[in-house]
Amino acid sequence: MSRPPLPAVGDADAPAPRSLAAGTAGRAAALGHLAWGLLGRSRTALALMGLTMALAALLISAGVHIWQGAPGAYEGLHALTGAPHAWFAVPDHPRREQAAAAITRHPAVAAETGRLPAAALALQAAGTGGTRRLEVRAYGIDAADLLRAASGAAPPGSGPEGLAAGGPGPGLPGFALVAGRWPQPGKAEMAVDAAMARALDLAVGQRVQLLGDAGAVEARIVGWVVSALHCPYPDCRPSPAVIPGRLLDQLARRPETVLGVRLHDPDAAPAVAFAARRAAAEWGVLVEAGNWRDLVAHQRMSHSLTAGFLLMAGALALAAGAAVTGHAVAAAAIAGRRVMGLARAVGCTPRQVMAAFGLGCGGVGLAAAGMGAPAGWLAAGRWLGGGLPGVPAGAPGAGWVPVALAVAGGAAAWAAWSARRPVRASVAAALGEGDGAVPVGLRVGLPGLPQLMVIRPVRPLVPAAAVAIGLAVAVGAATLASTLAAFEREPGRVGVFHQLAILGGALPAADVERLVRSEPAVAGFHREAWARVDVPAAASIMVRALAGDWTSAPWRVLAGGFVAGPGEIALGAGAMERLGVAPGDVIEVALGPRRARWRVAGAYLDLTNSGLVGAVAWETLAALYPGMEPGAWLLRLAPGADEERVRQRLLAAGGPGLAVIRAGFEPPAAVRTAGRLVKGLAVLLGGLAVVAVVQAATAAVREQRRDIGIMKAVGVTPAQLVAAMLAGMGGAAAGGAAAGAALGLVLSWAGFRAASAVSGVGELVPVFPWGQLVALAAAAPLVASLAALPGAFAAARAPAVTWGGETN
Amino acid sequence: MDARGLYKTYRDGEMRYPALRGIDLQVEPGEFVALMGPSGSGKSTLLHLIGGLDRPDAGYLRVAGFDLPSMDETALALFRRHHVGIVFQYFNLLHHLDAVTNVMLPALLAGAGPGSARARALALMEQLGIAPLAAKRPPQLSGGERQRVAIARALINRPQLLLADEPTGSVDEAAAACILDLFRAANAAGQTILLVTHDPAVAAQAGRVVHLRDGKIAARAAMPA
Repeated sequence: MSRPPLPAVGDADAPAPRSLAAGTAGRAAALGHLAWGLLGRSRTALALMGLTMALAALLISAGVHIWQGAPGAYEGLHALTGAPHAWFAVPDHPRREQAAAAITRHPAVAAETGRLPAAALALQAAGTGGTRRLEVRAYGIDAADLLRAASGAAPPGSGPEGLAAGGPGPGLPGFALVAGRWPQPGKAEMAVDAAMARALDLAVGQRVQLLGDAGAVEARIVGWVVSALHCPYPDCRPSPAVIPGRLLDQLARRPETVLGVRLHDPDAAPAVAFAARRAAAEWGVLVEAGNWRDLVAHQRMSHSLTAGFLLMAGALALAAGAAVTGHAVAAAAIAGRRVMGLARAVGCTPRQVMAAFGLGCGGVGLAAAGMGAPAGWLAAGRWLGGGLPGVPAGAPGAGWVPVALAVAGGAAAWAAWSARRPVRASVAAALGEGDGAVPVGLRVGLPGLPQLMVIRPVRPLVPAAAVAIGLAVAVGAATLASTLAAFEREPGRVGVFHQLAILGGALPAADVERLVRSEPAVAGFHREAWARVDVPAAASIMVRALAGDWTSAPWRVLAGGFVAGPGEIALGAGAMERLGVAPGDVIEVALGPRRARWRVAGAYLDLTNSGLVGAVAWETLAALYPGMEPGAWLLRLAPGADEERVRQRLLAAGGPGLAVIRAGFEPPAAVRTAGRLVKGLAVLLGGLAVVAVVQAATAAVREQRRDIGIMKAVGVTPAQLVAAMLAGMGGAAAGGAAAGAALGLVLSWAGFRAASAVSGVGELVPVFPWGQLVALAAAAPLVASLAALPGAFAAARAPAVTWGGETN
Repeated sequence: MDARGLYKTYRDGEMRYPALRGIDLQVEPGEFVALMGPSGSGKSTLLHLIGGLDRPDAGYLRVAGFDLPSMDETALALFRRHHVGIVFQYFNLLHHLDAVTNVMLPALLAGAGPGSARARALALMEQLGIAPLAAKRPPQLSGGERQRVAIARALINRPQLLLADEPTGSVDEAAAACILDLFRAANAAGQTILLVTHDPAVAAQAGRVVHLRDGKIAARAAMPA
């Protein structure tokens, strides 16, 4: 039987690609097969790689969305409610109309959007945790407003869509109903801010107490509203409320008028608001102003903390993902050395092998990020939607796509880079080597412990990095929790040194002071009045005027000194920075038509108004504001005094109109959210570190089978092997824990410095829980050693020797 | 060493591969015995069983007074550490450690201090002519040099039994001759040796040759003195 002849060397009939496209497709298919042949051998590593990359993509995507989405969400609310660009609270004053006209005639103003009476009231509600009392800004509406709301007529400039549960609001654009109905004229009804209602669990139908300087009434909540004139988050104060105009007249002696304007250039709102206030001041009327650009900036600042934590955590998770990906690639390169050698023997170039790795890891990265990034985006969208009730969430959008592509591309590039070393080995060597031939990193004997053996894990940087990253985040979480707890326990750390505050307006000042002096538990008190003061051509700051026993109070001075006498001002850190002044400088201030020059005594820590505050002696501000009245009395209690009992005694003695609130530090909602995020992330990354250690230990046994067998052959017992592997992993984890603890401390410190600077508050010093941190750092190597047990037991069970070949 | 009725079968799923089918073999102290036979005859398996690297399925096996089939993994490790030295065809040195540390490793495991273990290792390496290579790592050594390091490691705890599996199978002729000289010298000093080989010239160095075929002893022959 004759056989067909073999093709001759250089035979023209040898198979060749029929076209460029077919050739490319063939090569791609070959690379795909190679990628699967190399990576598919270590599925645990692949799963871990996918998990880390999905987590990183989720966090980064959520951070990006929050960063981009926070102001966007407010802008949506602003457009939907047809809100004014700037609004002014004009007080009851003989020249109120002239001042209002000065505002509306400003050349930058395009149109006036409406006017509503408004007043600051106290809302007292019984709920979980007892009776709570907080300040609201109540707007009064009349029958005409309701008629317009019922007809659904959109005010000028409102957006094309209505809100879910009700149209744009009455009278002054910028309000909308999201649940229930508007309060009816002549009835004791009110609509409350939806965010506040959710935070305090205030339901439609619930009855609350409303207190003003003219009286108190019990009102029924009939609806939830949102307002683009207020920061619409639970931690923003005061919250808006809408009540019938006649009810407002019963509660407030002298309501102010809030008027809104739309501008030719909406982005110029802050400057126009400032200038319009100055114009009104020329008539001797002190007007409070707000504008939409400042609220956009405010929300960006409050969300920057959350977004910053998410992005930082995403970067850390990405670093862990890079380590795990490198580990997976290295393990695949070891396990697939022979596959690699075979591929190269049949004509694969080193670049193609690297490309196959890149392709495989990029594919895993794309699949993982394709799940993680949209999940993060959606979660962030829901969170943002939850913060702004009534704003339609809209389509999720495709903003996550670049994040997913970036993560996948990064994984591919990292994999290709990691593979460059394995592909340099000679083909013959690769073909000749079996699995399990990675030399064991053995250290025998330590001073005083000659028989101690330590087996260094293969690629020890991977478990070390995973432990370090997990621990760094855990340190951050513990520090944040400890600091917030310390601030709540000792508010003096953040400049809150009084325990109770009596709000002004309910009783004559002399009566309040008599009442306070009669209370034996009060160790000291001072009264304050507040006014917004302009620093012409720079900014306006809130100034607190101090009278009484304020010099002995423990003000937290950050630079220079506190106010020593008249003509001096101590500035909050935010004001110091905004005005660009230093202790000893002199600033010129204006309040209405009056001007003065104050010497800057120093900077102090004040959480109010993002640090855009100042403190002066009573007579200093009184010179500019002759009719000034106390706004609050701040009470410092004797050591050991029961705050609640003292409060109850004061309330009982002062009558129903008196508002006595407990002071203290309450972290903003964004900070609490960030705390929960970091804690959750620490748990996730801790779990990831455990999985990384388990994987590293089992991979070590697989890759070092030969040397483990040799060690057993020369007399190493199973127990010694287990101990040596645990010691090695524990050592690597200890290094990681030390690095992670140091990194966590540095990041926590830097994070607090950054938050301190961004918030304008000043020196917020983190409180490190040293005991917890030491326990965490000590526990990490122990946990890592325990996680290495499965691998160590596998080593102990491995056969005593393999007779496998040994080449060069 | 006393082996009687040793059986060993390897399994791969449903497949069974009988390696030893009733081996009876005794080795007296000071003997130099060569095991010969074709590939698959069971000689390496027998060596594994005698070295405590594997367990028989059935049979009696006593080495240096120890009943190996009844011992657990830890006891077997201690047995290997103190009572046998093993020389492999492919050396099986730890690449991560230098030559002297490879040699002293069993001594350290046996409880010697680092100083005395090192001194013993260097003395042994001096005798084997490899002292200058003490600081080198295995990949820097030739095949013959690696095998001498492996022999030094096998001898450092003065084992009662030296097992060697094709010790000259991976080295050149000159190195093989040198290795055999070492075995002869060790045997002359009273060392009991059991050696597996394909090579009749190597087997000729032994005092007795045992031929295996299909897992059974086919012939025993005492070599002329």
